[in-house]
Amino acid sequence: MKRSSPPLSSRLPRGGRLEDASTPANFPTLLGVYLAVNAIRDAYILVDGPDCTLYKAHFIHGRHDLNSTLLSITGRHRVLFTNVCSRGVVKEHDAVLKRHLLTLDGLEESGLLLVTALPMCSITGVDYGRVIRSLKGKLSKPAVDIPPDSLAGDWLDGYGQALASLARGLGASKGRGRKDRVALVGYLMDRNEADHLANLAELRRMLGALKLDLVSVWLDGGPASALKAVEEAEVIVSLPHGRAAARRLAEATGAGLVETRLPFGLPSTSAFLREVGSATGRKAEAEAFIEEELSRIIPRLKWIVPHLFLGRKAAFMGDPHLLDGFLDIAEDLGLEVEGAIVRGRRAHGGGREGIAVLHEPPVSSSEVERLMRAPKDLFVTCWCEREWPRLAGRVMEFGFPSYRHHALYERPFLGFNGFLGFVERMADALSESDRGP
Amino acid sequence: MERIAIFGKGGIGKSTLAGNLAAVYAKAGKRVLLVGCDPKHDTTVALTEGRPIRTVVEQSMFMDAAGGDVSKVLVRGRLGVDCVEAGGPEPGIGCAGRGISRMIELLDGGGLLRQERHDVALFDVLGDVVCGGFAAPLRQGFADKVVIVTSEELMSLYAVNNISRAIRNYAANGIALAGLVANLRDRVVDRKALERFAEFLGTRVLAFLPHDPAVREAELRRVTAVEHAPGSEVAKKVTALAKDLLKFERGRAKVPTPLSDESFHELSRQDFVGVPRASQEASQPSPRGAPFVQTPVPAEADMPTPLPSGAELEKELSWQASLWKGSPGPNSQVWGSPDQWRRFFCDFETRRHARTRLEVQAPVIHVWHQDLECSYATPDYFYAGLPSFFKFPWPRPIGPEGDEGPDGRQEGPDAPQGPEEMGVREAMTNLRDLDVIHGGGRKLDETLGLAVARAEGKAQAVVVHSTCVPTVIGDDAKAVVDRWQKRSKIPIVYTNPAETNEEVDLGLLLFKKLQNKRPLAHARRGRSVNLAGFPEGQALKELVGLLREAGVGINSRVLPALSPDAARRYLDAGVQILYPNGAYEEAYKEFFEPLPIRTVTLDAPYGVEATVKWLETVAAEAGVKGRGVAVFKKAWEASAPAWAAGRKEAAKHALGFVVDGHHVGRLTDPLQMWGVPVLRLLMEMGFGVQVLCHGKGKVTPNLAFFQTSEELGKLLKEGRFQAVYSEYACDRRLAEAGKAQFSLEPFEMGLAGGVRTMKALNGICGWPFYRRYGKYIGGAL
Repeated sequence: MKRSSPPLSSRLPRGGRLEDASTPANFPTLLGVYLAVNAIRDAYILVDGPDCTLYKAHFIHGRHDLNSTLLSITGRHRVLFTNVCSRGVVKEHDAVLKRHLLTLDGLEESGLLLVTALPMCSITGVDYGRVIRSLKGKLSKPAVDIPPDSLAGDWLDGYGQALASLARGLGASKGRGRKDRVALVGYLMDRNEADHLANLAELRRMLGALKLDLVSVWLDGGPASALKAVEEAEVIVSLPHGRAAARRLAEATGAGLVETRLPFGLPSTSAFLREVGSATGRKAEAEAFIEEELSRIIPRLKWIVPHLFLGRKAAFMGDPHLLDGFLDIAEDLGLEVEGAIVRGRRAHGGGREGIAVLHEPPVSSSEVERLMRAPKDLFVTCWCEREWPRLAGRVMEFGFPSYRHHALYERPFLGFNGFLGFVERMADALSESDRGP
Repeated sequence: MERIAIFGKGGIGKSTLAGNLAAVYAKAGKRVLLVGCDPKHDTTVALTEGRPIRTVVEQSMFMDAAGGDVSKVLVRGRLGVDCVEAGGPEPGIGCAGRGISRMIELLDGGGLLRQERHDVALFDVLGDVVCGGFAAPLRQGFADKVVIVTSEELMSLYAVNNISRAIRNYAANGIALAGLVANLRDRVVDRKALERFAEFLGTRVLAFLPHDPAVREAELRRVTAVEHAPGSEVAKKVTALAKDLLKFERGRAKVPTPLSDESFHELSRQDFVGVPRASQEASQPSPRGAPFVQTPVPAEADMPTPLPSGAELEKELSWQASLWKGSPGPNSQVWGSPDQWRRFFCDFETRRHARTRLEVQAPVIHVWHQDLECSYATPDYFYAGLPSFFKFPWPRPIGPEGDEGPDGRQEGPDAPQGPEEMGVREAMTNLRDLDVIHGGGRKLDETLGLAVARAEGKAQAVVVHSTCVPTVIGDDAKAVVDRWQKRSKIPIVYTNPAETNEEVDLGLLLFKKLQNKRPLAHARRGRSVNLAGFPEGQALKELVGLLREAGVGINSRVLPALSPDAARRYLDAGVQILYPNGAYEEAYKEFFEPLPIRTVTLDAPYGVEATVKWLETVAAEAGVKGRGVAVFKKAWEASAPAWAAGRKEAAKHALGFVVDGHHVGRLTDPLQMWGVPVLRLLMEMGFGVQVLCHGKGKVTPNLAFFQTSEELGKLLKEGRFQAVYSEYACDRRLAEAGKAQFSLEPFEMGLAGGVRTMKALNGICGWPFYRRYGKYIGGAL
C-alpha cells in the first residue's frame, strides 16, 4: 500500500528558471471575498487569522475603491480578525470566534455577519458553520460562513464563493416570483464608484427596454436585506462572476435560470439581451432594441475607428470575463491584440483561439517579458505594481484593481452606453500615447 | 439517507467494521457509499478485491477550486458499493487533515450527498479527532450518526472520551452519538465496566464484537467477514448492529458528556465505579457584548492647570507627557476601541512599518515559502503616489538614495546589480492544497535550488522566508536551508517570523560583521561622518551639500536604506550622527551600540536655529568648524527672505492638534514624532497653535478641553485653526468640521526644507475646500 507523493514535475509547473517561480499574476481568494463584503453596505466579516487580514482591506479601501467603507475612522472596520497566530491556531478558539460574532451582532450598523479564514487557520479544519450554528438563538442578524478556499482558488473564486455562501445561508424561499421581474446574480461590484453605479443603471435601462423589472442585483452595493428581493424574480440572469450562486438561488426560489455572458462590448451585450429575451419570451423586443441601439451608437464611431483604432496594436491584462468582451471590442475596432494576461486561473476561461493568453503566469516569466516588450500602442490593464513604470504613457487602467483611475461621474463600461464609454477611454489613452511623453 | 461516521483509536477495527457494515447494507439491497477518511486509504480494500483505488487527493479536480463532477471519484466495489478514499501524504510529512477536509468540501460542492444517489453513507475516519480536518465528516450535511469503536483497553477508552468531546463540539451540526461498539481483544472482559463508562458519556454500548477468526480469514481473502462467513458470530453481530443503527433516532440522543482527563484516569482505575469529579466539562462561555480586544486603557488623567499661552504651552505639555510615558496601544488591533473617536495618531502602525522599511540595497534573492494569500498580506505603504488609510511620516517617494560613498564616491564594486544583470530577485513556493497535504519541503527545495544557482556569482545572499502555513503544517524549512547551505558558498539566511515573531534583519547581519573589525587609525578617520536614520529626499541632499561645502565628508549614509558598501566602511568615519527617532531606537541599539565609533545624537535639523546648530555641531565633530560658519551663514542668508515671507503668511494661520493623555507627548517630544519637534517648529514658523485636550482643565486661547465626541466636534468646528493634525487619511471628523488636515508629510529638515514646509502648511491653511464643502463629506462618528 506504500505510495509516494505525486511526482515533483506535476506539482511545480516550472521550467527550471527562477523567473518561473515568481509570484503568479493573480490575486488571492480573500481579496475576492473582501470585494463581496465591500459591495454589501452593512456586511461585516470576521476572519480567522492574524492582523494581516485587516491590512488586506487596504488593497481595496482608499486605493481601488474611494467610496469603500471597509475601514472606518471609528475603528469599527467591516473586517475583523481573531488575531490567532501560527502558534495559537493549534488550540481550539471557538470562544474567541463566538465572542467576536456576538460583538458584531450587537452593532446597530451591521446587517449581515460573515465568517471565513486565512489558510493557516482553515487547514486545521475549523468548521465555521458549526460555530455560527452554536450561537443559534443568540444572533439577531443573519450569519453565514464562507468556506475558506485560499489554497485552491483565487480572487474570482473568492467572490463567487461569497455569493454562493450567501445564496445558501440567506434562506431564499420558493414561490414568491412575480411576472416580468428578473434578478441579476454574479455582477462583480468591485467598487462603489460611479463606473459601477453607471453599469447598474445601464443594465436596468436595457432590461427595462424589454419591459423587465430588475428587482435584485447580487451584488450592487446595497444592504444585505435587499438581497432577499431575489425571491421576487421570475428569471435569474446569471453573470460569470456568480454562476454557482445563481444556480443555487434558482433552485431555491424556483425561478428560471439563464446564464449569459458579461454584456461588455457590442457582441456580448447583444447576446446578453437575446438570451434574456429568449428566457423571458421577449425575443422580438430584444432584437428591436438591439437594432435601435446599434443605430444610435455605430454612427458615432465612423471617424474614430478608421483614424484612431484600425491596425493599432493592443494587449490586455486582467479579469478573464472582461478579456472576452475586450477581444470582441478589439475585433470590432480593428485593433490587433498582441496577447493577454489573465489574472485568474485557467478554469475561469478567457481568451480565444489565435490570441496568446497567459493564465496567471509568473510575473517575471519569459512569456510575460515577451508580451511586455512587444511593440504595442495600448495596454489595457489593471494596476500592476511591477510593470506600471515601464508601461507609462501607453496604458489604460481598467478593472480590478485600478489604483490610478477612479470614476467620479457615471460613465459605464457595460452595455451599449458602456461600450461607448470604454471606447472613449481607449481613444483618449491612444491619443495621449500618440502625443508622447 | 443514513449517514454514519465511524471513529475510534488507530488499529481498533474501524475500517473492518465500516467495510462489513457496507456489505450488510448492500446485501440488504441498499445503495451504499463508503468514504475512507484515512490517509492510509485502506477502508475500501475489502470491497475492491484488495486493489487500492485512486484517491481524491490524486484526482485533478482536487486542485480546482470549482471542483468538478464528483461522481468521477467513485469506484464501484463489490456488492455495488460506491467507494471513495481521501488519501493523503506520506507519513510524517504534510497535513493529512487538510486532505480529508478538502475531500469533504469537494463532495459537498459536487452535491454528492444531496443527490439521494445512496441510501446509506459510511465514513471511516482516522484514529483520534486530532484536528478539525479529521472532524470534517462531522460538518453539517455529512455524517449525522456517530459510532465509536473501542476495545476494553485503557488508551482505546481514552480515545473514546476525546472523540466524545469532538461530538459534543459538533452537536450544533445535528450530530448524535449513536453509541460505542466494543471490539473485544479478550474473551474475558468486564463488559459492565464498559457499559458504565458509556453511561458516563451519556451513551450506550451498541454491540460487543467478539474476537473471531473469521475476521482475519476474510482479510486474507480481501473480502468482508459478512461475505466470507455469514454464519459467524461476528457477522451476526454486525448485521444486528447495522439494523440498530438504522433504527437509532438522532432526536432522542443526548449530547455526550465526556469526562475530564482527571476524572477519566481516576474512574478508570476503579473500573468506572464512582462519581466523576466533573462528569460534564464546562462549556465555553460566550459573553455577549464583551470587549473585542482587552487592551489596558489607563484611567483618565486629571489634566494640570491649563496654560496661559505661547511658548509656555510647550513647557506645560512636556510635563504632561511625562505622565503618560509608554505605549498608547496599537490602533489597528483595537477594533472598535471606545476611545477611537479621539485618536488622531497611528503610533503602532508607524512603528510597525518603520522597521519593515529598513531595506538592504544589495543583490539578494528572496525566497518566500508561502501561499498566494500571504503575498498579499500588506499593501506596499512605501510606493510613491498611492494613498493609504494611514498618513505615514516618511517622505514620498522614497528614492533609492542609499549611500554615496565617501566624498561623493559612487557605489563600490559589489554594488547592487540591476534586474537585468541578476534577473528576478524574488521567488515563492506558492503553496497550494496539495503542498499542504504532502508537505511543502520539496517545493521549497527546488525553488531554493533555483535561487542558489542564480545567486552564484551574482548575489551576495539568499534569504528564505518561511511563513505561517508551512509552520502550521510542520514543514522543516530550516533543514532544507541547511542542506543547500552545505552545497553552496552563497550565504543562505533563514527567517521565520511566524515562529519567532521577528524577521531576520539583513542589515543587522551586515553590521554584526563589523563588530570584530578594527577601526582605522584616527588620522584616517578625520573630517568624515556617518549619517544614520535621516529621512531621505531633497532636504537631506541639501544638508549633505552644505556639509560637503564646509569640508565635511559623508562617509556612509545608512537607514532606512543600507548598502553593503556603506556597512563595510562604516568604521572608516570618526563619528556617527544619529537622527533622533523613537521608531528607530531599537534598530540603533542593535546596529550601532556594539560598534567602536563615537555617537552624536543631536536635535534634528528642523527650523533655522536647530539646523544651524546641527550643521555647526556636525562640522565641529568632523574637525572643520571654522570653514563651516561662512558656508552656513551664506545658506541662511539665501533662505532668509523666503523664511520671512513664510512667517508673515503663517502669522495669519493656526493649526490644531487633538490629543489625549497618551499622545500629548507627541507634540513636545520629537522622539515620539519621527524626530520632528512639531510644536516648537510651528511656533518658530509663526503659526498659531491650538491644542484640544481630552480631559478637564482651565481653557486658555491655546488649550481647550473636551470629554465627549460631541464636545470635540464642536471645538473642531468652532476652532480658529484652519487645519488639524491627523494620521488617518481623509479624516472625516475634520472634513465634517470644515477643517483641512495635515500630518508629518510636509515637514522637512534644513533651511530650504523649512521654507518648503511653511509653504505647504500655508497652502493647506489657505485652501478653502473643506470650509466650503466639508459638510458634504463628513459624517458624525
